[in-house]
Amino acid sequence: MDYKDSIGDEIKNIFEEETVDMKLSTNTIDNIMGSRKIGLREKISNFLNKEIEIPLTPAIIGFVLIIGISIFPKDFPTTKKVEIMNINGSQIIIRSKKEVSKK
Amino acid sequence: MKLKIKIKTLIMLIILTLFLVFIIAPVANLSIATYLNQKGSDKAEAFYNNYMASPIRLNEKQGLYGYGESLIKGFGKYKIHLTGRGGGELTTPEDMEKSMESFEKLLLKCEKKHYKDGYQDKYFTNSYSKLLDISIATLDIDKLLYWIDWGRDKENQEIRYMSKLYEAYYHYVQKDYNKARGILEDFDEELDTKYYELMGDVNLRLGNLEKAKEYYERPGKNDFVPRSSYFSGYFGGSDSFLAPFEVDEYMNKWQGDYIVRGKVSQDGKGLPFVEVYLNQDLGYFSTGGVKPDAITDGNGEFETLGLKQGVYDIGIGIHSSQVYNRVFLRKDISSIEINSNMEFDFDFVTPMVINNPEEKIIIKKGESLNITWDEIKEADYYKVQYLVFGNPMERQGGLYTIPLKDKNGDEELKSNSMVFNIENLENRISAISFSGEDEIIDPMGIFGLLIPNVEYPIIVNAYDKEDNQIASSLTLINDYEDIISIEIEGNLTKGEKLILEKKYEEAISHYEEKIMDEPKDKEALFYLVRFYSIGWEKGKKDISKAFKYAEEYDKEYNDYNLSLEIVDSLYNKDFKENKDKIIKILEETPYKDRDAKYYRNMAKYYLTIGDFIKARENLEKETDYKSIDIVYIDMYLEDYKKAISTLKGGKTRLTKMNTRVVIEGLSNIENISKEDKELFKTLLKSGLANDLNREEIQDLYKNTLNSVTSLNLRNIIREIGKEEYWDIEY
Repeated sequence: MDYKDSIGDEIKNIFEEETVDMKLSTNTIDNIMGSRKIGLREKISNFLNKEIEIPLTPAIIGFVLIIGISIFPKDFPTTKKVEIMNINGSQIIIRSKKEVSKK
Repeated sequence: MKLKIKIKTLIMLIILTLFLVFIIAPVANLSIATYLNQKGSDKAEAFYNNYMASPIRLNEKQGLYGYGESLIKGFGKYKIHLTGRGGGELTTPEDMEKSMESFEKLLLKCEKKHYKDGYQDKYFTNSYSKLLDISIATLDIDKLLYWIDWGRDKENQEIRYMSKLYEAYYHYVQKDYNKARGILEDFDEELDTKYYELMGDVNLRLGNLEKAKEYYERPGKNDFVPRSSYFSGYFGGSDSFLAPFEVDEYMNKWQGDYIVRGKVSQDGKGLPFVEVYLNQDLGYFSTGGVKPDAITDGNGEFETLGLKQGVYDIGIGIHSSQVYNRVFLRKDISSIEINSNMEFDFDFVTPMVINNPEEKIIIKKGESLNITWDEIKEADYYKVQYLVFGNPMERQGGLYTIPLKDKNGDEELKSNSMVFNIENLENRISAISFSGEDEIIDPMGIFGLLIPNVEYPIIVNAYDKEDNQIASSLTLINDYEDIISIEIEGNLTKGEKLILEKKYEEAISHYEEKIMDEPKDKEALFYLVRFYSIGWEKGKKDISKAFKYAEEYDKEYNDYNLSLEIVDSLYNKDFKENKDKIIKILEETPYKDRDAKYYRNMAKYYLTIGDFIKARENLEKETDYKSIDIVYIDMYLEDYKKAISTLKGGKTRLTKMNTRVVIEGLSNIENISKEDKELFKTLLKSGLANDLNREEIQDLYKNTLNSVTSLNLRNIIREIGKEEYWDIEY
């Protein structure tokens, strides 16, 4: 015996016939869409497709800085001047210039 | 300006950035580091450090190896000879330690991968080679044995070969030559220069001269194909192996009968793997790769083969990382004469510690500072000195040591402390240097004292009863910033500020005006004497004004030192023109203040007036190194035996003269012609009296050299010309 849901199909067909000319307003559609339950996948998709505004110049500067800091050592720009002086048979290494304060 | 962007795009960008930071940047770091390392740049280390700090290191082995290599900088030796020292790269002990750790880490990492027999990973084998060489360079015999043992049974064939080769080297150094040869003969295929050099050395020691020559010459043959780069260079990483054209000369060196033995030690404990060199080119030594004539064993002892009779310079070579924490006790000789078996030791000691101050200290003018240091048992006295730049503002213009005196005016201190007060400083001319084409004097040449707000590092030396230095707080290599220093708090006067800023003409005007108002102003008299005696610029001095102001200063303040300093600063023409004033000043100097400088000036006076005998008497009174003028005087007075004896004594201050040549020449000079003798004496007289300018004396030197007929005499004159720099055109 065929347990097809014939009543369900019948009701569906009648509903479709009766509502074929029916137009819902945008508000009604939005209300219906807004109050329906949204799945996780849709939530994620909505989030990912959301647009945000970011300030361009700071973003570029920040990106360049991050890459720069990753590649170049922190003391790279400084030129280490090394001078060797001989005194009393010993070598004295003078590694960088020191400021002498004047009073 | 704003950019609209979807969140998913932003996330992609963040992921990309993270990829760049954690994957690409380290790769870039490593590439830059490798490139810089190949160029020998010291910036490579910083890039390697950056790479090693990255959490993700895809080429960790390359990074570890390059990092280790960049830290060492090189294996060149720091050479210490009787006539000078230097060479090597400035690798600190800390960097050497870090380098070793890097290679050890790499070795362990490679080992974990369980390489199968026959598989070669260049980082694995190269790291092992470096660790063996580092053990030798750091004088660590236990470490070398550890690594030899480690590599002995490894699956990797190259590792096993290296282990064996270094084991042979170890036995060679320990003077077990038969054992070394046995190990080397067990190698069954062509190796590299290291193998052949060692085989040559072993056979030479065993007396197999022909075999030794064969092995030394093997790497120079056309059909020689080195096994690999692992075996390049010599043990300990040095580049000291014989070039083919050097083999005969090297073999010939050992045709003599006299052996030199000795010990290299630190506080009495022997240092292994130290290279020892002997050469007959006095005044010259190479800081590059030189084949050692001996290597110290586990007890620090060395022994050469048989040398020929002669006068030699002897020296040692040690990696620079090993001299940072050692004080070398130098001997006051410039050569050794080998005419029998002899002993010669090289002694290092641990540096003295200055206990107070412990670090840089600032003292106020008028305050006292108690400087204390470790007591040295064998010390008879100590001396404290401070270091000063010619131009302290720029840290340029030469670096000088100036002695500090205690409150009693003593320089030689019997106890291990001194109370130092700036008021006790003598106003001595010192630290004179000139800069630029116009030869403008650097400020410290005028100051001569500790000036406020400038850092002065201090050093302490200890001496025994024979005036030999037996300890010091200054090691062979020092970082300026690590030396304890003192600084005087205070203000500079207007004139002093002008001097510090090198505005000398303004300073002179300022002090001249001051003298007009206050004729006895101490500061004005002091600096005017300085300006006029030394000169503030090329051609700008006034000796008569200097003497005038010095006389005022002496009378008013009972301090004759300023006048003495004028005498010491005078040369040639100025000295001659003022000789009457000079002898008066010298004769009035109290006996207790007649030091080596005093006697040199007395000698200079007598040389100026042509009294060479009195000049010699005063030169003899110099207690440390003697002036070469003594030898010239003896030659002039035709006392050649005395001249030879002085030169052989080795206590003459020399720079370029080859004393062996001069001694040989003087030994055969008796039969020279009368004309030759007169030409020689004329040259000596002019040189001693300093009565010619540089061009004139150079012309005289060349004419004399071309005119004398005796070959011996020509050789002597040539050596004198080298010593006095008459042979160089500026």
